[in-house]
Amino acid sequence: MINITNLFKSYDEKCVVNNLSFHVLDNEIYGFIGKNGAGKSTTLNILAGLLHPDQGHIQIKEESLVGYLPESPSFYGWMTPREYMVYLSHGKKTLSIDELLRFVGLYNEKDRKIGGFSRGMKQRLGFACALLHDPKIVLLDEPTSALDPEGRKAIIDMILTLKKQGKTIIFSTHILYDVEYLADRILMIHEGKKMFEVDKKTFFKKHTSELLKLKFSEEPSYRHIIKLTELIGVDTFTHQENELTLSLKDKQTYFEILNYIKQEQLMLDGITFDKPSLEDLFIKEVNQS
Amino acid sequence: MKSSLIKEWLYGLRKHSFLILGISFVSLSILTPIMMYIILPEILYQEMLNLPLEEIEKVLDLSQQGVYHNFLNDFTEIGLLIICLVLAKLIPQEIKEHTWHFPKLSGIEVKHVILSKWMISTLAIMIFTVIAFILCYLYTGLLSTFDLKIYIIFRGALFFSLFASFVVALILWIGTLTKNTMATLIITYVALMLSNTIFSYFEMDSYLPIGLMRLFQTTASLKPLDYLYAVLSATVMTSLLLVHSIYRIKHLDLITYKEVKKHAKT
Repeated sequence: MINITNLFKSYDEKCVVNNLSFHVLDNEIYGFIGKNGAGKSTTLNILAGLLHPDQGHIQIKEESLVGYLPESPSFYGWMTPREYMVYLSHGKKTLSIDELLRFVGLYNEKDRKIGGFSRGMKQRLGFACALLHDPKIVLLDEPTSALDPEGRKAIIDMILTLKKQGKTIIFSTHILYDVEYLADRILMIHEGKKMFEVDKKTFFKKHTSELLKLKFSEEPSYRHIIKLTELIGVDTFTHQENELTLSLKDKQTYFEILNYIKQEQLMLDGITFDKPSLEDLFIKEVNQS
Repeated sequence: MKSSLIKEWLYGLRKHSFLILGISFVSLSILTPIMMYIILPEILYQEMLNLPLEEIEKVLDLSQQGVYHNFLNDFTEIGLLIICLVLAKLIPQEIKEHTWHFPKLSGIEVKHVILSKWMISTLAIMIFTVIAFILCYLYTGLLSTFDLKIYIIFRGALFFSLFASFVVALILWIGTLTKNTMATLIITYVALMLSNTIFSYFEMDSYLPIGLMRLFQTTASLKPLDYLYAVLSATVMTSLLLVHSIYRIKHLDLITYKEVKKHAKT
């Protein structure tokens, strides 16, 4: 659906998007994650046509209209939502404005001035504007940030409805829960570069049972912690009072750990396997970079 | 284009741009005759007690033509300043507040946005200029005698409107360059006043749009050659300024690095 190759964007000397390449499939939800200033919004602004790239190639499937919801959508505060959407339709065939306002829950506010709207209402209106021309591709920049839980849930539900309607959605966020919940594939950007791209299904399948949580009866000694974390199969670890969490490279290491615990006669209150969250991976990648 | 024109019309009405232009122009057309016929003779009479009121009136030239000339002088300076004040934000405000994002994404063409701003602003100025000129003509006529021909009033209003259309295009163009309301206001006004002084001194104004400033103040009859060059140059320069403004906006990144940095910090 969308192919982006070797995208570059600089401001003065600062490179904001650095050789970014990715592709988005038809009818998938593609999530961008990254810290603030990572280049997510700049990439989306380039895709939407609000910024001109310095280099790179953007290929979008023929006749695919693109709708875009910026992070902080701006409107003419002296207009009503209806007037604004009529202006944006500029005589072209669009989806029914009343239907769209109903879809985003603003139908009863259609004749109120936008200037008096809350942040959440503006976000909803932005959503309606992005969908006005019935685009095949919808770009959403931080659609749920700065919204209350109710507003966030409403936007998430709308995104899922769009997917059911067959649209392709690209969205950026730093709320990892949202991307874990919504996205089919996830791209992490750091300082304008692609850090990793994962398929959510394979990611969680691959990482199941790799995180071992050991709960000791009493706090293990420093020597024991060092011994356990120095085992070849242990990738990273976190230690908090009686709890030791080990990220394992393979399942064989698990047995080695159990042998060591038995050998040293350490008392355990519990052993649990946990799947690593996207947040763990995100923090790990950011720290490594 | 129609939707852009309606939007600009609503903007003018709801953001009170038309109201400010209208009240200012009408006030000028009424206040100048009041100043000339009532306040100024009274002040002079009190200051120069020996001078009879008839003599003061002769010194002031209180004929319709004389007062109308005074009105036009005020209108040139104050009227242009008001136009610059009201319209300077047209482009910078849209860039600063990112209100062009959705229209651009919805496929509204930049040329329609710029041309509708220019057309509606020029039309509003034209309407209020004609009203102000007629009001001044009627008021001065009632307070003295109708010694000016009405066609001269319409001709003056037409020349001023043509000049205003050039000024609006200049404001839009400078707005695309500076992207700052205050800078647009100051640069436009200073440029107009300076070029008027300089080109009038070198007697080049009749070949330039600035010549319209002198032409609309003329009450004598004019031959086509007297205004041909000024009208032509104003038309050509207005078109060039509009074309370049459209080009600038088309190739402008609507998000600046300053905003990207600010966003990264938050």
